[in-house]
Amino acid sequence: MTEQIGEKILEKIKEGHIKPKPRWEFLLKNYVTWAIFAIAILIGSQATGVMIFMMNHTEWEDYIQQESFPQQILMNLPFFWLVVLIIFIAVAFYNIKHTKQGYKHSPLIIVLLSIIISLAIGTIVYATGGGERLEDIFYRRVGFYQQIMRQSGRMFINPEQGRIAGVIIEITPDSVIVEDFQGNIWKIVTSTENLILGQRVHILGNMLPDQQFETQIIKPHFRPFRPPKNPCLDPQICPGPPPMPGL
Amino acid sequence: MVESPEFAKKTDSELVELTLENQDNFLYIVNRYETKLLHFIRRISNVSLDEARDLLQEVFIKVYQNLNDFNPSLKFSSWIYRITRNHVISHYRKNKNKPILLAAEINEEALNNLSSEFDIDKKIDQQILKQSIDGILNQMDNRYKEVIVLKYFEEKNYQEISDIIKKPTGTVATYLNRGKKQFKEKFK
Repeated sequence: MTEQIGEKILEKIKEGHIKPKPRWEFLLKNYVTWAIFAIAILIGSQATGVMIFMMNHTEWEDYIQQESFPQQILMNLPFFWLVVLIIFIAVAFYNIKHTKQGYKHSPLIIVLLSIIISLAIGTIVYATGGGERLEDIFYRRVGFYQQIMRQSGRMFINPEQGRIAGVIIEITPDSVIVEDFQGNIWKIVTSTENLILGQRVHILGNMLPDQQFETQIIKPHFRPFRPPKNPCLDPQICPGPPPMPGL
Repeated sequence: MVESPEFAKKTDSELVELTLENQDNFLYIVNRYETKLLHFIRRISNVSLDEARDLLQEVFIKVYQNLNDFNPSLKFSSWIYRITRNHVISHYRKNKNKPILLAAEINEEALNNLSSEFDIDKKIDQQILKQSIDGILNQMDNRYKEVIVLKYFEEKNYQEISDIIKKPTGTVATYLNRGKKQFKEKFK
């Protein structure tokens, strides 16, 4: 049997010009698997950074206490980023399992470690302001994400009860024009200091006739990570540079 | 080619290196593993002897093609058993065959291992015992059956089984415990 099988195999190898696959092919496959794992963890960390920002900087939670608990969760939990984190933890898990030594570790340990790494890097992302920037970029550039955020904002809107949430689309010296997340336009008489065009805000006050709103409180949807360096983006409102201190 | 005394002393890793230098040396690897792997194939599949030999040839071709992927930190025997197991599984998936054990592959040594582990009375007629064990193993879940075969028939330790089936050693221990429990229940 030995002679037969051994000789047959060697004959097949020679006839078929079969060669061992080159070592670099296996090394490359291993490096790619590790690289995808690292990228997945980094993306998951970014999502964690945004989640930490959103949960720490939401300003409307004090005003929605009268809403039902499920509704409060729907309005406050960053579902989109949670889903992103889960997807990329799954990608990381799949890839680490496919590394040469990956099978030696328990799936639970791998998932827990991935979450801990994501949390650690995510905290750094948040602390450097990356969470805020990424959330803002997504809101402005990713239509699907904008729709999710607008949907969450719609739940806050109740003008009869004195609540509006929307985006500032115009700023004048003594008022702002806000398009709420349901598409209604409101003129809000208020001090415009620290308000920015395109900023998401929520407003508490009293509804007046003619789509006007008397404001008691106007706050950005997310408390900024750092005060904006130049809150005035419209040159018509503040044409000159701010006066130098002491002059 | 009969294994020369010089090559008989070589480790598996050395034979791999020698094969990468000269493909004829692959014959020494084939010589060393073909009987073990042929038995293993028959123990985890329901194929005939001829089909098992065909599978074995395919396994060795695969081993040859992947020689550069062999990592010496792993035992070569674990690596070659892993390739064999995976090849049998993909063959099974292609042909939708349910792997079963053949009584013919339960040898004296395996029978002794099983008898001492499961307190089986050795006075029972060996042929009846073989058939009985064969029947029980055929009824077991594949994952439990597989670790029992590797532990008591192939005499692999936990680490080797872990490397072959690519599961953590803790999972291997769990499968083995459950397998033993299932085996004992069915044997009563």
